[in-house]
Amino acid sequence: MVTTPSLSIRRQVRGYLRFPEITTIDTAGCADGGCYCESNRINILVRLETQNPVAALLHLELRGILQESQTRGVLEAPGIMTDIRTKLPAAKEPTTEAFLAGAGPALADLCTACGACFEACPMADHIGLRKADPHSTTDGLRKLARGEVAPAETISWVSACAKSGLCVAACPQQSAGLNAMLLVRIAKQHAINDTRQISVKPDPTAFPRVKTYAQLQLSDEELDAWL
Amino acid sequence: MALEKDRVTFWFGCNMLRHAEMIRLSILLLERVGYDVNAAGGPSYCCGTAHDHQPHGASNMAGRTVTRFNEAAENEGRGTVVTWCPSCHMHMSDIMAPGNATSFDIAHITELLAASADRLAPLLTVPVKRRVLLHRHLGFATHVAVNDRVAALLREIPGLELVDGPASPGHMCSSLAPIPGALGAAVRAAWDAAVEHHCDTVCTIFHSCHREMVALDGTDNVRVRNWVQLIAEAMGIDASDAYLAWRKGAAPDVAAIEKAGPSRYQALVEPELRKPSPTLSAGRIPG
Repeated sequence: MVTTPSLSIRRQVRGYLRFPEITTIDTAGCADGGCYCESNRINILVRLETQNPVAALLHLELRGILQESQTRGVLEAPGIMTDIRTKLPAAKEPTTEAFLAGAGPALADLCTACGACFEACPMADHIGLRKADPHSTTDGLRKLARGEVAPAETISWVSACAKSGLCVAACPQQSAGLNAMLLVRIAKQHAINDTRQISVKPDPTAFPRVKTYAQLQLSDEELDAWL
Repeated sequence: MALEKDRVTFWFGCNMLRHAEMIRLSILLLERVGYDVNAAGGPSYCCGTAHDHQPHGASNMAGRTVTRFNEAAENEGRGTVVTWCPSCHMHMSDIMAPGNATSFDIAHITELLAASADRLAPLLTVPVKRRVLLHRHLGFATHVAVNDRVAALLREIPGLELVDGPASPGHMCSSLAPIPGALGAAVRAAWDAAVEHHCDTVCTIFHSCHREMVALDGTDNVRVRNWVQLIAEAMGIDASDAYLAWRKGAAPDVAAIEKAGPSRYQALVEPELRKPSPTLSAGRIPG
């Protein structure tokens, strides 16, 4: 039973939940707490914690057990956001290189090439790609993520990714574990390094430049301690 | 001595090194609300996000950085890495951590400060009489509600009027730079909105936006400030901005150039400081 909102909400992106009239919630309804529960419908992204009453409340709402009108505002209660650290995911591989190598095909398998991510992307307008076919463009995304050659529209699109992130919530496979922005990112990496459909001009001056700015402004003590 | 749970590493990234005052102000703000802060950044703490063309090298960079943060967590009790840069934050969350065992959590600086508003607000005693347009981007909301957090912090400042600016694509201005016209359009949209809403200040959230906006400082009687600078003003703290001054024609003092190396300064820094603003590149001539 819940009497006090807990403080273990790991992240709240947006959302307005109200909880004035509910005083007790059976947390047994959230027995599988610890999952990662998201909802486009009420625009919330919350990492649920086991036996966390607020998370349980959200989970119940997200599952339709409670109505949004019953939960609106709870996250804005005083003290509710005191623990806002994000617990990082456990390592799946020993290196990022190994993780990315496996993640591409895995994410591609989840993708249905429905085109929702492409349609949500604001960059399509900037690159004159709005009239491209969303299905074939996102099918190319799957191909790239598996290391296969993709059509020109897909290449143009992934090249222009600016990490607006609207694709993440637009993806109907999000709840199945598909991070659309990560899929685009990995697809772009394959287009650079495997299919060679994107050429990158590395900037060898980037690090020397920021080091020069550091030398211009930081004290010797700051240079020693920070860099 | 802060409690161990309040010992943090402030990971400011690589490109924030252009804005040393903003690093110092960030540290100061975290300290004022009770955190014990060690700062870390620059190439030796690179996340690797800008190195998609060299996956093995980027992987090594990520591994090295995670190892250093793990050591800070295990040896110094700094179990939280406080991020500034949205690229670093997302890369840590989405790519670095799944490929490296981590013994720390992360939190964005705006989240920590917004959660500490009860400790921060009493320090904001100096009215900041500005009408401020907040320059926002769509991205990073997948990870942190940064626009809302900064707006909440700015609303704690006495005297400050806040106007929400248009939300531009991307997670910060630098992400738009490779797409022809996109960066100029984003900067122009924010600037035009500031003028339209009779704002006297455009507030940037991230360093790369600040880098682009400061070239326009003073145009249309609109100034450019970062959110940490506005909070510092409300605390009565000097919030000078060397990068802004340099971008507008001033030069670093001779001793600083000597320390950095005159040839490196001329080759690496001066061209950036003298480039036209993206808005000018996009064809608009500011009044």
